[in-house]
Amino acid sequence: MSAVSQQQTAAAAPVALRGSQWLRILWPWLLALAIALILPRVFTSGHAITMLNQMAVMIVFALSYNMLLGNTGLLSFGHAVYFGLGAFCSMHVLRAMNEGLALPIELLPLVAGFAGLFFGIIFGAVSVRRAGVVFAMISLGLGELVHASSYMFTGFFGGEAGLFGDRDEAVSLFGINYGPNVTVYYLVVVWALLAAAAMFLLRKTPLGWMANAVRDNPERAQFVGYSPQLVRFFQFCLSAFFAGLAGGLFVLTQEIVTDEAVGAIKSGTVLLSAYIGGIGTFLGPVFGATLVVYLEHSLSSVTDAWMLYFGLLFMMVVMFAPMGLFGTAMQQFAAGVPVIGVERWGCDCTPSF
Amino acid sequence: MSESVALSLKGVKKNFGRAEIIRGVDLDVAKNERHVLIGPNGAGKSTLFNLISGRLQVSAGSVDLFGETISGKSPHMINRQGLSRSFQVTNLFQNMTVMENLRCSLLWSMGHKYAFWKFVTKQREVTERAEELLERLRLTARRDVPAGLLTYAEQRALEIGATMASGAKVLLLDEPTAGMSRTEADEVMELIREVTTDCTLLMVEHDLGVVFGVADRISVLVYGEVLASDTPEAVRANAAVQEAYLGKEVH
Ligand SMILES: Nc1ncnc2c1ncn2[C@@H]1O[C@H](COP(=O)(O)OP(=O)(O)OP(=O)(O)O)[C@@H](O)[C@H]1O
Ligand SMILES: [Mg+2]
Repeated sequence: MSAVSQQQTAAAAPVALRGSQWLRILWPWLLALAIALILPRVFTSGHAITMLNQMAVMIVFALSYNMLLGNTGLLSFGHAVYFGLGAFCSMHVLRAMNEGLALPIELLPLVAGFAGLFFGIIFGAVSVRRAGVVFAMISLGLGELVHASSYMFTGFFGGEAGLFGDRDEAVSLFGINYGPNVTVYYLVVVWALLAAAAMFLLRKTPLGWMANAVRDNPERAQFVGYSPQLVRFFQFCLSAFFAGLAGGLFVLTQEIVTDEAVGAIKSGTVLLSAYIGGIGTFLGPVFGATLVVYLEHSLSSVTDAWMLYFGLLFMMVVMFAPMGLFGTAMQQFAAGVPVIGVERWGCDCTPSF
Repeated sequence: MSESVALSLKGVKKNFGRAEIIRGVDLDVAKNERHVLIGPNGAGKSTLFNLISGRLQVSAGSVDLFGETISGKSPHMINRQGLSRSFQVTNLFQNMTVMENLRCSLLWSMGHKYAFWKFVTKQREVTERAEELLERLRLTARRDVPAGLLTYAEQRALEIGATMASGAKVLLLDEPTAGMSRTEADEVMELIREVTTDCTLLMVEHDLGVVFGVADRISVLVYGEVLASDTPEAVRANAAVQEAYLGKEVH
């Protein structure tokens, strides 16, 4: 109580200082927002806008993946399950909206997030007992299980053709028609930034810290009162929420979702994205996701063997820059700061961008 | 049983496969007592600590903490009931700084649990308590150094600090001064004496000079059995103990 009032009085006196403090915290986010808003004005082609949309979606997805791998030390081979189920659930809601359901289209990603959370709770409960190989194998199994059910429950998954929806035939909070790709891009950017900020802040909470602790030394975590299983479970559920949200953004941008959304290739891509960028920093997966989407587009138009080059890139990163491209670059720049083996895992207050 | 017993072991046994390492240990540690466990290498002292703290499961017998059975519970549940332990081999969050290690050790006991709606560094009480601990451990200058880069003695100090951070009512310290120089060991023992004025201490220690200085009672563990459990004077005078342990081990 007294802490709060003290903070308030301290803040009330020098208003200017307070403003500059905010600026110090917020500038990376403002910069990100500025870049996101400028890009579609520079690259105006339909192809570029599509790519930008996909990047935003992949960034959220990769960040959610890094909540598991980077922050908690859980290697998942089935993270697309939550992305895809979030996408399918929100697609059903979108279709209901097309039929007249009076839910604003802007909130669709939130629906997807809660769908991801729901399945995260169910599947997380059976996954987090052990980290390491056991967790990885269970995630692989769950991924296959859900992908296989997409062929069995064609009512929900829409069979081979998938499901379609129409984003401009829905209610909007602001009366906007999201028909054009570039219009929906701005909505996606808002959600992506909100999600990224939330995931960034989560790293600074008791749960975020203990996730790092459990990753590094689950035994010691137990002897300071924490159940590693529960820490992993909560992280898993939150990560599934954001994966689901990314799935919702996917539905908004694509207006179609097929079984690929829950498939192993999607799970693999998000792993590659996070790893290529670097799982030790917050911005690593952002960088990785951007690069992977870009390469997917540019390489696939140049050569049919793009998967080959992509695989080579991944192997090079694993062998020569295990901290990822962004992580390694950061390490080079921050040579003055003591860095131990891997990058500081960034659970302290100073943002490890 | 009596109100005054903090920790009570009854017929505790532990086998690793066919090897019987702890062979029926009965031991009572009174509240606010400083109890030292001595014994030759391989006697099973660390194993006994692992059994008490839930790191290992007992094969037979039971362990009670303030009259409640804790054997069979998981380590974090035992910790929450007020028992905290250090490790013979330093066991810290190596990638985290000294301050981060202390904060992590404080979070649960200060009620923050799995919260994901508040910031760790904004918790003033946690920060203050951690800074006070830093001071006591003489690690203030090393506050932002990752635990893995500390000197051995500093790591040991942090290990003890992280153990007592939570303000547990019962502390188990496994060879807190192992590998330290004389002066370092004295400093650590001084610290331990300071912080255990109102809690119960069970400690493994090899340095007999240290042992007789700090102990209210001493138990001697040899081949998984308690040979004697008595005041320092009585243990020193005990013929069986002298033969089995003191006679050979006094440096
Ligand atoms: N997990 C295990 N599996 C098999 N044997 C074990 C295990 N842990 C300990 N032992 C054995 O139990 C015996 C007691 O080990 P313990 O570490 O408890 O001894 P100690 O009294 O702590 O010795 P020290 O003074 O060297 O620390 C040793 O012979 C050891 O080899
Ligand atoms: Mg030992």
